[in-house]
Amino acid sequence: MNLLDTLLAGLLSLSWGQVVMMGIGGLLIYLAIAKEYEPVLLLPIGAGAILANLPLSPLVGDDGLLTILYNAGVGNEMFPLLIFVGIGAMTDFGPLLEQPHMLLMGAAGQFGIFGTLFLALLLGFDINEAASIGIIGAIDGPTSIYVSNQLAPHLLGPIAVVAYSYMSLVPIIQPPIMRALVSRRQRLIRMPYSQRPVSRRTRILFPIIVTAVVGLLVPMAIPLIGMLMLGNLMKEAGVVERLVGASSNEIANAVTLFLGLAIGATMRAEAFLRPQTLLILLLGIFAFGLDTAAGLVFARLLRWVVRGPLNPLIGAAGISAFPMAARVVQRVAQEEDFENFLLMHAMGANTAGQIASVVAGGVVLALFAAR
Amino acid sequence: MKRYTVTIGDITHVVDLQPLNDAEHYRVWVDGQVYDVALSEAPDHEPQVHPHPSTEAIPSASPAAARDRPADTATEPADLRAPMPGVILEVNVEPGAEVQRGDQVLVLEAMKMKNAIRSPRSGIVAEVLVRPGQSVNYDEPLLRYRQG
Repeated sequence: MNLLDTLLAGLLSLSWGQVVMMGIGGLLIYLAIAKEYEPVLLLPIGAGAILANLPLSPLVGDDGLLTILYNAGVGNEMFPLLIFVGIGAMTDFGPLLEQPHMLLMGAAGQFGIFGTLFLALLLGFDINEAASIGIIGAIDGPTSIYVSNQLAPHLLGPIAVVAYSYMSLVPIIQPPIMRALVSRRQRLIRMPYSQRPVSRRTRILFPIIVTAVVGLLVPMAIPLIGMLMLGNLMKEAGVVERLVGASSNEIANAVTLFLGLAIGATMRAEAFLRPQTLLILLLGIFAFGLDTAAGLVFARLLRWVVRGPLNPLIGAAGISAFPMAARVVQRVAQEEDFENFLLMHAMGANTAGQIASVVAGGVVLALFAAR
Repeated sequence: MKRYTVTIGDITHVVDLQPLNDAEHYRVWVDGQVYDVALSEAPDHEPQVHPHPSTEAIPSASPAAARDRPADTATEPADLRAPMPGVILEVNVEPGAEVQRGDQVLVLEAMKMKNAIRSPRSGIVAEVLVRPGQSVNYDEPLLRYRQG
């Protein structure tokens, strides 16, 4: 009998919660494979969730691999920051430097963070939890992980899963809002693209200046903006191709795997299977929608200020989801007029959104981390 | 039916033009509104040709001026130009090919996104000025149409 108990220990200690969590892990893997929703993250997260919820899994023991990965890079925020180096090394800020006024679009695209924060407070989350849920509105995976891990680590799993799932749904979430808030007449507005040469010196100075200015204004944003801009500085410097290649390929890929597994491992039944996870799911889509709507409305208002044509659709690109949001803008505009090319403008707004979401993450941390 | 896009100030209008019976009467759709218009010939009037109607405002937009000018000569572009910088991935037409407005003629990759470049007019391709793999700048001519 004892022998049988030992042999079947795993099966006997299986709880219904673990079964459900493995099911959710399986669902994430399905979405990654069948729908290609952010597969590089959702597949490891789903696998991590299954590996961590198998009963008696040594992987989540004190010296288990998943525990080690969590302690090595999620608990201390190293993994999201390393991913930021890679993102910076892959991002071309040229379209933003050609059209600096697009920076305003990026600011408007962060409205969802604060709107969602207030809604979460109303729904009974405490202030740190609400801020962490609000940061889903940054529509940036690493930023969401970075901020929520500091403010409400117990919500890290649901927030990361919600952020990445919706991010892959940007092409589905945004267009209906765009069509609802921008009339066909305005969607038809063409924006002539004037290619302005941006000097190499400007491109090199940009990451340094942004880091210094943002760092002085929002010290809590220094890790995020500093790593993002370090990657970009290496790219624009043109003399460290090997480091750029390593940051944007080997390091980013390896860290993405580690990060996904470690986050999946935080998806424990007792922390995940609660009504609040459903609320986070709802608040997350609210944040995405509000960001998009705020960007569009802001762009419509900006039309009265800016000289020259401005298609309000650009406002939807002021979020961080890069480069999906810019592509969505291009696609929606082309549905009406195939000769309308908004991509470069949208990319400017999109990279601005990336910078702004990092700054917003720093602002949220500065406001709430001390409490 | 012919379709034109006309930019006046910062508003772009899509104009569909259908000839009625003769060359002087047209039914025109402007952003969903239908108008019946009659054109009167002004023989000594030089039509202004705008090679890039999409980026230039047409200065005189009063209805009277529009009536005096045969519409199509003002908006048919002589060539197709790159709407943004990027790399040509595909060329889908050859010189001599007959294309309809809206036919895909090229694929331009910009910011890692593939963009179908469609013909702004119906006509015959006279010359393709780019080949796959070539980088192009904004406003660089991509292909030319046969005139007339």
